[in-house]
Parts: sequence; C-alpha cells; structure tokens
Amino acid sequence: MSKQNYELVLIFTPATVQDGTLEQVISHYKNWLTTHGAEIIEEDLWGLRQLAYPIGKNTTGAYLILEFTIDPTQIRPMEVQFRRDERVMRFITVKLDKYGVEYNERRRAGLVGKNRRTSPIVSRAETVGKEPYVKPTKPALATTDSTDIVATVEDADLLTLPETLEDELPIADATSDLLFNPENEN
Amino acid sequence: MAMETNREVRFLTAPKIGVKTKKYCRFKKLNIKHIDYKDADFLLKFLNEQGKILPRRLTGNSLKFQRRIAQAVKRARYVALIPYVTDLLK
Repeated sequence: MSKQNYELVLIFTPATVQDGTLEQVISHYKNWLTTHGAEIIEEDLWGLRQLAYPIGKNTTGAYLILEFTIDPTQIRPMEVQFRRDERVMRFITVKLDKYGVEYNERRRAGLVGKNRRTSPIVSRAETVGKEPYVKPTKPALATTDSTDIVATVEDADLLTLPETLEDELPIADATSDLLFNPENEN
Repeated sequence: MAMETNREVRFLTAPKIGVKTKKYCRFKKLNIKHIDYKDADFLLKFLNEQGKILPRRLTGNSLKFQRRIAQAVKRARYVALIPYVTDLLK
C-alpha cells in the first residue's frame, strides 16, 4: 500500500507547557512517526491557545499541526497511542486529497490562508467598526492569477461589502468583520 | 384595516422591487477547491451568531461546497476552534 497524505491536529493539556514536557512529548511522537515510515512535511506548533469551550476543565491547550505521508495501516496504532496518552486532550487525523496537499503547499508559500489569530474567537464585537474599510486597489488584483482564491466580489443581495480574501488586505483582521455577513441582511 | 396601515409605510430609500441579484457559489466562482477546517476566521462567514451553520439559501453555496463547509465547521468545532453553542459569536 502506498503512502497517503495526512494532516494531524493534536491538542496537549496546558500542564505539558507548565512543566516543560511539551517538547519532549512532541519529539516522542515525531520519532514514532518517522520510525514507522512517515515523512513529516510540515510541523506547526501553534502553542498555548484559548479553547473555544473548556475540554475536561482545561480552558487552554497547546496545538500542534503535523502534515506527513504515512502508510494507512499505521494510522490506527498511532491513534491508539493518543487515546492512551493523558497529555493529549484531542486529536484529529484527516486524510488530504490532492487539493488539500496543494492548498497546504500554497499556504506555506503564503498565498492562501492567513496568519492564525492569537486571540480566541469569543467576541468580535470590540473590533467592529473601529477601522474603516479600505477598498483594495485594482493593480493589486491584476497581479494575481485567475486561479488564485483572492478576488473582489460584489453582490448587492448577499454581500454588503466586496468580499476580499485575506491576502489582499494588510489589515485583514480588522476588516474581516466588515466582509460577508448575511446576518446583516436580516 | 391592515391594508390601510400598510399604505402609510414610507421608506427613506426606495426598496428595490423586481431587482433580483442572482446568488452564486463563491467557491466555484473563485475556484476554491479545498476548505481548511483550521481557518476559523474563514468558517465564521458561514455561521450565524449562535454558531449555527447558515443555510444554502442565504449563502448561495452549491450543494457540494455546502457539504464541505459543514464538514469543516464540524471538525473545527471538535478541535475547539469554534464553539458548538454560543451567543454573540460575531
């Protein structure tokens, strides 16, 4: 069986950060993966982050995202390990199709996606209406190729403002509230 | 009676009657092939204030991408990037 592309999100308990064992745990699992024939493509440690809801009395968790190729038969033993490990609060393994692999490559190149937010998604009310919406200039659009997911769209019915994806806007975080929001219509 | 009072209603800006804008699937239009469940900010566009997934009749998504949005939102909820239930999400 040939190898497949997988993406793994692990959430470790905040206790691992406090006693400094996080690095050790991560290297343990990375070693396990490489010894079982995995090729790690990307390792992204988000670090301690606010959870959207408490998991087992913890309100924060340390996120680790791994992208790797591995033989599909190794996934089950890998997940068994996570279930037995108290330091792992949550895990999710997602098989990536060709578009997912392409997306991650483009994200690494900085073409799509955005820098993750450091603050939790709890309330966005305080950011609404602080900065005026800046319409992206036309030349910026012309430089991007047509297959790129960045584009400006206007739709009087659904969109109150032109929908612009993150890469176009240097202040995307502040303006994202002003983007597509069908709730405003009602 | 009800008819009479309705006639009294005046709008500051004239409502657009008969002007229909066709909805479209943004994923098809912008050629997006993959939806990242880790990008919570992007997924927020498809949620209402309670964190519920908006229906297709509001977002205009094609069935294919509505399914993928739903899948991505559910994954994002599982990894605690988006709450399952909340108020004032936006």
